[in-house]
Amino acid sequence: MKRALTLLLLCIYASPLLAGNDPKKTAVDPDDTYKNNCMRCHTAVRKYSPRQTATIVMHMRVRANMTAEETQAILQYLAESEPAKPAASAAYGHK
Amino acid sequence: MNLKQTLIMELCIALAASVALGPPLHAQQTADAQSESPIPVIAGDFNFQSTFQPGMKMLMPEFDPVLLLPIGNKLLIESEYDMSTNLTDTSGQWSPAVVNHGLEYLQLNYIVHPNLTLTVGRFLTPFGIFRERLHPMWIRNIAADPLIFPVDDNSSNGAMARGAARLSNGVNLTYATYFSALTRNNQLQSDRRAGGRASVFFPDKRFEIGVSYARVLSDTHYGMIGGDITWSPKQIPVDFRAEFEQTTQLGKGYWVEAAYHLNHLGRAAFFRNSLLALRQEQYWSPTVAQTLVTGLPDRSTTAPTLGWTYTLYNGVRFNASYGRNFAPTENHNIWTVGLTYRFAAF
Repeated sequence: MKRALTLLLLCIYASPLLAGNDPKKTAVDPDDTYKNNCMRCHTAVRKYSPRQTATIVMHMRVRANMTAEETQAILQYLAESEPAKPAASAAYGHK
Repeated sequence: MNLKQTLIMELCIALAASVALGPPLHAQQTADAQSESPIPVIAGDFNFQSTFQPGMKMLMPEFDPVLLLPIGNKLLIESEYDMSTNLTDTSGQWSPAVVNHGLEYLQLNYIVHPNLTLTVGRFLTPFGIFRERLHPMWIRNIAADPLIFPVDDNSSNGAMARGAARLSNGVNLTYATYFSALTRNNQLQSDRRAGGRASVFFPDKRFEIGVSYARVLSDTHYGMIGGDITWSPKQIPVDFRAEFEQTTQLGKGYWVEAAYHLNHLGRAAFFRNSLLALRQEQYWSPTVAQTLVTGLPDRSTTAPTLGWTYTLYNGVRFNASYGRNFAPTENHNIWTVGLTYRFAAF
C-alpha cells in the first residue's frame, strides 16, 4: 500500500517536470491569463513600475503555482495595461 | 519506507529531473531575460476589524509588512511579519493590549526549472487554499477566518518543492511537497511534519480542484487530509470557493463560499465596487476534546455568514458582515466591520 502511494505521489510530482515546454501547445493569451489566474483570487492591482511588477509577479509565480508561460503572459499584460484608476474603474474587472 | 524518507526521495528526484531537463530550462532563461530586472519591494496591508457579539466586543488592528528581495531572475527572498492586537471587552472590562507578533514566512525561493521551484526557510504550510492564497485580509471576501482555519493556520520550517506545468491545452497540474522540522522558538514555532498539495487547474474554465495531505510528527502524531475547489465561471460574476478538512485529532469541517460581483448590475460606483459574499461552514469537534490547536470551537458549530465589501479606491476596502453561530448554548449573532489598506512601495 505504501509503495503504491509512493509511486502515485512520484508520478504526480514528476509529471510537471516531464511536461517541459511543448512548442505544439498554443501560446497563452496575456489578457485571458491575467483574468483566469490573478482575478479569481483578488481584485485588479495598481500599476507599478516594470521592475516592481517583475518582483511581484515572481512572488506570485511561487505563491499561486503558476507556470512559466503564464508568468510571462501576465508580465506582458501588466506591461501593456493602463493604470488601474480609483473608483472610476470596476474594482473587480470584467469577468 | 516512512513518509519522511518518501518525501526526501521525491525532493531528490525532482531536483535530479530538473537538472536533466536542460533544454526547457535554457528556453525559459531566454524568455525571462526579456523581462525587466526585478527590484526589492516592500508591500503589505494594514487592517482594523471590529467584531460584536452578545456580551463581547473585539477590536483587532493588524499590520502585515511584506518584503520581497529578488536576486536576479531566479532567486527571491520573501518575508512577512505579522503584528496584531486583540482587544476584547467582556461585560464592560477591556482586556490588556498585548501585541502579538511573529514571522509568517522568511523563505528563499529558487526557480530551478520552469516547472519547479525549491524553497528553504520558513514558509506558509501548503495545505488547502486559505492559508497560502486567501489569508491576506485584502483578498478575503469575508473578513472572519473560517471555523476550521486554525487547523492549518501555521508555518513550516524546512524545505519545499513546488511548481506547475501545463499538461495540455487548458489543463495545468500544480503541486507542493514539503518537510518541516520541529521548532519551539516563540517567533519561529513549527511542527515536525510532512505533506503536500496537488491540484488540477483548468484555466479556461477558471476551475481548480485540489487535495492536501499532512502528517504531523511532533509530540502527538496525527494525520490531516483536505480537499478544495475554486470556480469562477465566465458566464456569471460569481466566485465559488470551498474547502474541507478532516483530521484524526482535531475534528473535521468545511466551508463553502459564493461571492457575487455587483458590477454587472449597473454602472454606478456602488455597484462597480461592491461584492456580496455568502459563506456556510460547519465544524464537528472530536469526541475527545483536543488541546493541540488554539482557536478551534470547543463544540460542534454551524455558522452561515453574509458579507459585503466595498473598494473605496484601489488599495482600500471596507467590509461588513453578519453571521449567526449555531452551537449548543452558543447561539448568537456576530457582526463585523473593518477597513483594510493594501500598499506596495520600494
